[in-house]
Amino acid sequence: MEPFLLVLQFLADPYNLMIIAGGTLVGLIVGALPGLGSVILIALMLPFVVRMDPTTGIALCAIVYCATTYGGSITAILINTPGTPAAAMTTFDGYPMAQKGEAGRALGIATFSSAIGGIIGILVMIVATPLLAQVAYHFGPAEFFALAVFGMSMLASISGNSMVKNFIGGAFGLILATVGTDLTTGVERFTFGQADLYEGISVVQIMIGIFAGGELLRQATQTKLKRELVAEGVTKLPSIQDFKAIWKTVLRSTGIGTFIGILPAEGGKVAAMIAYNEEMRWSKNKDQFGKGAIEGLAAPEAANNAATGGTMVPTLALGIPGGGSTAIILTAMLILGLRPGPALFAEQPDLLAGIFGAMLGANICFLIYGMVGAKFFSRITLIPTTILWPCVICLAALGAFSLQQSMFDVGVMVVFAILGFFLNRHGFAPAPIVMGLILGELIETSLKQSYLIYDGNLWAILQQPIALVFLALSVLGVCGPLIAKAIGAYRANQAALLTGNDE
Amino acid sequence: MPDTSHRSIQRTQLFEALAVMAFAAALFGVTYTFDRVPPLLAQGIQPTVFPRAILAIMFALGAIRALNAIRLTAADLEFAKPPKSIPALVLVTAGLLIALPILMSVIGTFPALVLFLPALSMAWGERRWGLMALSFAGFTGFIYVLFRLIMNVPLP
Repeated sequence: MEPFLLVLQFLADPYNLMIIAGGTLVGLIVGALPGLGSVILIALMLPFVVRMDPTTGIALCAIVYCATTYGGSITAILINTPGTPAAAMTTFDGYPMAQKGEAGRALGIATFSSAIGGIIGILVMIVATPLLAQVAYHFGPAEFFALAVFGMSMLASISGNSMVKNFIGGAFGLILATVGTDLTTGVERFTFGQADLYEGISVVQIMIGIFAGGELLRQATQTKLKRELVAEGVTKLPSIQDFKAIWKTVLRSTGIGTFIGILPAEGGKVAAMIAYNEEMRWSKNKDQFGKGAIEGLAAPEAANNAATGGTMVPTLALGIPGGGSTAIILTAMLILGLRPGPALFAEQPDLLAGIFGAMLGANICFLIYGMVGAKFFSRITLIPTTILWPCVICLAALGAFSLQQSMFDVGVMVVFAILGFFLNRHGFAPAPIVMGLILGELIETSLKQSYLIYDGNLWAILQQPIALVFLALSVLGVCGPLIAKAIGAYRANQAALLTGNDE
Repeated sequence: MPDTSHRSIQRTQLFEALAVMAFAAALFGVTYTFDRVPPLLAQGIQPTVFPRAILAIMFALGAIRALNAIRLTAADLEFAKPPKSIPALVLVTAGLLIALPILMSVIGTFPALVLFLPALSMAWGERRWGLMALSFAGFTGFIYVLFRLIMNVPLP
């Protein structure tokens, strides 16, 4: 009960309510702007967050994470352009509904599904995070090494790209994490004599560059894109019939979203995709999917918002990011001197209550904003990119500078902006690079510690039950998709052979 | 899809794979320039071990990509999109992005913003002068208040 009481205490403070209201508003506005999303917004906020009081700063990141995830659905429904990647599936049935003159109904269903999914996801987070952290008390270097490897193995299934490309991205991130002075030996690695690289490349500059800068260059490829509202977005409360039709969908998708969110490296986008596919599989109205089925709208919205709570579970309990946005939140925590894991629960209960309370408050807040202000948020999408993006990139450059007052950092941001664009163009998604960057230090440190503990015998890691489970899951994570593909190809072959014989 | 498109896709994929392998090999070579430390200080693992292991994995992954690119069948290529050339506007935007920190260092942050903001906006096709003037003046004011007055950051 104690975590819930602390959450209520956090929510009773008028200052915190003000932060929730303001943060949710900013998150909704940014979520409604195509191209910008939670990852870019939190990356841009990092230089400011690290100067704040830790609870307020991290809570603010959590608030905008929830609000942008929902905000992306408004543009998905009204202009067929998902504001965030997690809202991509929302366009499939949301936009056809808007075209049929049911924009208000679609926004209402999306808002309610999002809020219910988000709130349940956070309640699961409040219960599951301390439990997982308790398990982490039994973790030593071997277990942390295996856990980090498991996190990297999940790259096999993210981003919808080639598995090999995701792993190459992850390896690139791991190499970036080794740049600088090796903490154990004091040896410089990949510094090329540059004094600015002795302490490594700042994660913040890389993230701002890859996400905000890379997106600026991508936007330059589509400046002629015209966005038109198909309808004014006045949200309508879902009717009793709508509730009856979607309540099972919302609950099922919330479960899927929370579970997918908890898996390291997966996030709202994957959760929404799986929830949509599952809903289509179980639905009696399969033929209506893609033409404006309300279940097809409710499923991805409930799942991607439930995933926001889920992704925070491994981030807070184990220090393994659940997705791109939580990777940046984790970076902010580390810069603020907060070490995620069991110690956080013992030493910083107020901080955790702040994060839980802020996310819960944000979900309730966007429900209210969504019901009364959808018309306003839908008009935000029409802000010209020719005005918006020059401002965004200047804010990014100045944010990169402000952390250490170093022009070298701005240069790093620019380099990674250009690199991010080219990598993305060739199908190397930014998320695996960030995962490698975040997990690099943990993997190397825990490997070195294991080497010392087991007297040079790294096979001893396999004798630790928890580590063995994580490593087995890693192998399964990597080989699973390959085995499934091979089985699929074998069955297709057999079917082709049988058909040939029949003829 | 014509054969030229197929060849172009295969070439691009092969080029990507070779670039990854070359990058990994070059950095692997760089690890030989790292200082060696006495075994006692290194605690069993030299500072080269971890980067070399990662680079070896990266090289192997690049080799897998290269093999896949060579073995692509016509059926694989049927649904693949041929690579598009980079629009000139991307290069202009990248050029302006590179110019921004240089301008900030040479003429200072606020004059650099006054030049950069309308330059990028115009490059992207914006011609509504009033809207640009109002938006960018407001934004520059916001930057001054946020960074100079609130955060007290000594901007160049």
